[in-house]
Amino acid sequence: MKLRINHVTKQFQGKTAVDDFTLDLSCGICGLIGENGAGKTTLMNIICAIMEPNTGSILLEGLDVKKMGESYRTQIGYLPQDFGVAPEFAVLDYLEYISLVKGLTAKEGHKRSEELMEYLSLHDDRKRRVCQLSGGTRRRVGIAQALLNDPKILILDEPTTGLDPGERAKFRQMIGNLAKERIVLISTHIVSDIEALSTRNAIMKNGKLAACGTTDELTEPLLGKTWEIKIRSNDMEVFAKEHYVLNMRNSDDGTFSVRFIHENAVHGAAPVHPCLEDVFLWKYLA
Amino acid sequence: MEQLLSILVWRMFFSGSIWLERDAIMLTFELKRILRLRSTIVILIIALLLACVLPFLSTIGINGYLIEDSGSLQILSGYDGVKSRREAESTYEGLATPDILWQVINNYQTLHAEYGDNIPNEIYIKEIVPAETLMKLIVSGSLGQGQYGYEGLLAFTQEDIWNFYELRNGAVEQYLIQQLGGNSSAYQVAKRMAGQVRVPFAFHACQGWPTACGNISGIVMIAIFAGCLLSSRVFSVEYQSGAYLILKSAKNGCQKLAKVKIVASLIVSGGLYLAILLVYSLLCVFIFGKDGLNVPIQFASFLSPVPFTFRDVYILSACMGLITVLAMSAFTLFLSSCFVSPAFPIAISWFLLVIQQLSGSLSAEWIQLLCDILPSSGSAVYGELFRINFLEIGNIAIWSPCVIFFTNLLAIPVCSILAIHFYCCYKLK
Repeated sequence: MKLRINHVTKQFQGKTAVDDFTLDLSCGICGLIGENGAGKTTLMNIICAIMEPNTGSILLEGLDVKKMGESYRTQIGYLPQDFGVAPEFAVLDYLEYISLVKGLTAKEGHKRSEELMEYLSLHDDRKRRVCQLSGGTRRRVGIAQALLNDPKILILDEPTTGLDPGERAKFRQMIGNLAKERIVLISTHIVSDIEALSTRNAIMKNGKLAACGTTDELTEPLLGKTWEIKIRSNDMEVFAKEHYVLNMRNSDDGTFSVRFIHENAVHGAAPVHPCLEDVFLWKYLA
Repeated sequence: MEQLLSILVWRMFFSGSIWLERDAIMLTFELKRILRLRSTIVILIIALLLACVLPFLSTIGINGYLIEDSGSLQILSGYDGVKSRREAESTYEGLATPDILWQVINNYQTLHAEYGDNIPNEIYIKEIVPAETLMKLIVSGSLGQGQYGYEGLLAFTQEDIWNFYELRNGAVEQYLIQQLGGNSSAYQVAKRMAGQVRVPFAFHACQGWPTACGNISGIVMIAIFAGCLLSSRVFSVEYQSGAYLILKSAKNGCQKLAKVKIVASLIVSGGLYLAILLVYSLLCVFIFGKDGLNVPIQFASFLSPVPFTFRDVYILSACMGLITVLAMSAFTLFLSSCFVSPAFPIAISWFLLVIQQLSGSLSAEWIQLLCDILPSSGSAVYGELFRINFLEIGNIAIWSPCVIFFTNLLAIPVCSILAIHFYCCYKLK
């Protein structure tokens, strides 16, 4: 299965949110990385046929999804960043309701809802109203609704927002399993969430596709240039002025463990393997 | 154009799969969702409370009288006042033939001759109070006597009363000529209507029913206020919360879901109206008695050429009320599909309702016509059922309640179709 985002441009009141964006997606997980306001959500809305691009098209197996209409929408599952789950519904009611909207029969919808509640550990909450759920549980309900129609294309916009570390780990495992036979596009600005999961990553900046490739391909320019060093807190200000600091971690002994980029070896610094977040912070953050 | 519209309505509501099992279940879920909202429950409770209060408001101004053992006069009001009046007026129940009318007048003239304006309370309560409605009927016509108030009755002769209904016919004709002109098609229609008024008038104790019929407008307004509050949220809140994103990306999340949402909202609004109307009607029948509904509306509007009883007016007002509540809900749904904030649909719908209520005080004919074609026009249909307002197109004269009925009826599918269209075409900003 191939989904092509074909030269898509979307403008809002003179501002270009997505600018001539082209990307080919196939089975597996693709991470869409970009800072806030980069155009990720707009692009996802276009892919889900909720929004129409000014120019360009979305092609599934070469067919324009606009012309496919309902038959395209039966194949997608979408978890928006801010989604309003009808608060007056109980979890089971909500999932059954969405399953009907997605075109499943009542029987199929009930069966699928039960399966997903089991899969996403929502079974204990099935009778609870959605408005009474914690942020993480609501997110899981959101993921469940996206999976109701067993979609071939799964679009997840900032899916880990509001999840605690345990839930995030669980989510990564679940998505890993789901991605075997479908296209999964995950947008996030928390790069670490998808680094281990994604088969490919697309980095978006100012509405454009800034880079695309596997994690190794994207981190390749930083190989041998990423270092970690321990710095006393008093020296930190000077060090930050002289080096490109990616990250730092406060230690108990009054020192900082600093991760930074430098062309050559620095005295006292140990080389580290670059990660996707390093590349993103170094090259693509405004 | 009409044909195109009917095809559209047919295609959108009936030829689709709206009645399939899946859609019926979707409708059940949607109804469940609306009815579970706390705001729905609060609105329903408030509406029911107001419906309980309104019948008692209709008793204001209806007083009964009782002479206590001590000889002092006790004035009864509220339910007791109405009950006392009903008992008193039962004396004259039946057809208000010239014989009966003359009996009433003769009685008054005799008492007036004996006591002048100071008829003793005991005699007044026994002799005058039971006949007061009939006396008011005769006085309200005046019929060329040139005097209003009970003094006008003193000038009536037996011959006048023998010709009472002929004199009334003449007065009605004069009134129609004055209002509509003698040659207009509206005049012809009104004259035909006047010819259907049954005489002699049937009389029953009907105290309170004219006000109770008028207060159906109040019930309609309560239902419209409540219906608009509920309908305004249907699409707007989804845009606000982002729920729209999930629904719109689903197979049936566009037209089919919009249709189900509209049908569910209309069912809730209509059901709410019927519930409060039922409570109101039962209380009215309990307070005023059902026999008063058989009285012709000429007891409230002597020169009206409309051949209706209060029962007809009550039923027509109630039916028009239902159509208006549905039309206003559909209109609010249409606005809800256009605005992200539910405040705008509520404000616009309520403004329309207020304009409608104020339209009675506006004299310009085009404003009256405009108000007749608004979806809120049926909220004030009670007054129109008495009046002789006509829309004249060439040689055709259409009575204003018919105009209101058809425009409101048309507003339901038109606004629903617009709501579906705007919901499906809603552009994310």
